[in-house]
Amino acid sequence: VAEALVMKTAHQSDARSLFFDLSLDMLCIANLEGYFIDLNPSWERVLGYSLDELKATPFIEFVHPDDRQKTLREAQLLADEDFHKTLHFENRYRHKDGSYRHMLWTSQSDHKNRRIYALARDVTFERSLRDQLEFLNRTLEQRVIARTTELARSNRDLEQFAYIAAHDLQEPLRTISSFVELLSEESHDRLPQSSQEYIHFVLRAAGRMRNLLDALLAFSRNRTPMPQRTWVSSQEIVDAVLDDLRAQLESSRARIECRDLPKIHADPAQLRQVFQNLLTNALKFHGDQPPHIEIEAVMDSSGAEWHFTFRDWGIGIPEQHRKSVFDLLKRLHSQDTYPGAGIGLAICQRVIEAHGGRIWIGTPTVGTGTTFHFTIPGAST
Amino acid sequence: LNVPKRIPILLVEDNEADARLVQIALERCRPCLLLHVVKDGESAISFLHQGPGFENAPRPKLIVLDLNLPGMDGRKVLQRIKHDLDLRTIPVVVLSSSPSAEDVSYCYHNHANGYLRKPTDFSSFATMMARMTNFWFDAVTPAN
Repeated sequence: VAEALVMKTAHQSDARSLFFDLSLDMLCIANLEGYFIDLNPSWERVLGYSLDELKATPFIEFVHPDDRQKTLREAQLLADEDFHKTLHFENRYRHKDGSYRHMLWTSQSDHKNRRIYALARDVTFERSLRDQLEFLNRTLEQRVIARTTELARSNRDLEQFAYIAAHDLQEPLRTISSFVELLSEESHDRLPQSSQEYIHFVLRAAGRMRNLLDALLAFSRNRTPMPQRTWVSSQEIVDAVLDDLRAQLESSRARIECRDLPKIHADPAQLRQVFQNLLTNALKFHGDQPPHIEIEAVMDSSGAEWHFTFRDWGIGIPEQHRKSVFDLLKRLHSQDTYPGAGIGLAICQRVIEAHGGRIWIGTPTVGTGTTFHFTIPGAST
Repeated sequence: LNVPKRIPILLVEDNEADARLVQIALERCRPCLLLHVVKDGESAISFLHQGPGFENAPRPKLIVLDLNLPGMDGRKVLQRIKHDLDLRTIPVVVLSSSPSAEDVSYCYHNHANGYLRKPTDFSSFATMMARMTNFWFDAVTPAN
């Protein structure tokens, strides 16, 4: 029986030592004095040193100088605390050729035998992949930032360009129209009918161009910066606009219906422009009847945004133009019928979209007129 | 024969057409004015100091100054005039197409006596020039 036990132990021990010798991971036993006592052949394969060379020198000598401190700290923990476990510890070991290999460690100390049992895995390849990925992420991030900055800059340049172009174009235009005006004044009686007509066309075109330039100037100056949102009563904003337009409201005998408009999270100055432009339009395009305007706001069913409707009973906007009226410089009527530059609704759209909302024109269910809809995100408090 | 002496005023304006418009407008409202035109800031300073080429230049009763000039621009000219103890009593009216609040503020901070924005049509411009001369030649008592 005893023989069988010895045989069995010997057999077991053979299997274990085979396991030790054949393991592709690096297995080792070190003493608390800092020397390797036993290493499996994988060490030779990975680091290029013979096992005797590895045993002859304190192991810390093989560790990358930058990793020595943390390695010593970890070794100290193993030495201080019986059965201390090291997990996920990583450092670099020098290969015989001078390069370094990344090692990922698990180890445990055994104070009774004054030994440290450790397993190391060569993770140099995984580590290089991770570094590469990190590098790519970093460069990607930098490129996104660079692109965004570039885009913002070119946007600013464009706005700046529009402003300068519109401003500088006004100068020669003034000269043209002033001298044609003088020409017409001084020589009117001496000029044939046709020439008088030409002068009339030049002056009209100059006037039209002046309106376009004014609109471009106003639009590019009105840059709609990031909205400075505060909680503000939309009723108060509308009341202030109505106050400004009082004279016009009274002379046109306008009827405005709006009550209890909600508190919204928005930039007061920018929202004021929206109401001002919509009201001015409604007062302008009222048709035969005195202007009649109804403003309402309801909380969206999802509770995420306020939905404003701005209804008038004016001349209305034909179906096919309901999208394009928001375009810059878009006008539906001749300058003679309804003067204007085609900029008000473009500003409304810019402001609403800067607030994360939408603006559109609905189809009237009954009667004539126009219904503007817009949304302002953010539930009321 | 007693010919009334014409009143000298100085226009600093580099654009010939604009200068002509000022001239026409002034002739219409106040033919007794004698308009002298210089095209840049250096000449304006030289004119006021009767420097080379302007030995016989009169002391103007009013300076109409364009802001955007080649070389020494109108802002600098304004500063030079208002820093000069002798010249600073001459009223300087800035005539500009710039709507920029910065320009307006700059001019008043540098002691401009007025800031006029050029209107876009001639009849409004003529009206503006008439009002300006009514004020400076009828309403106010000049420094000298």
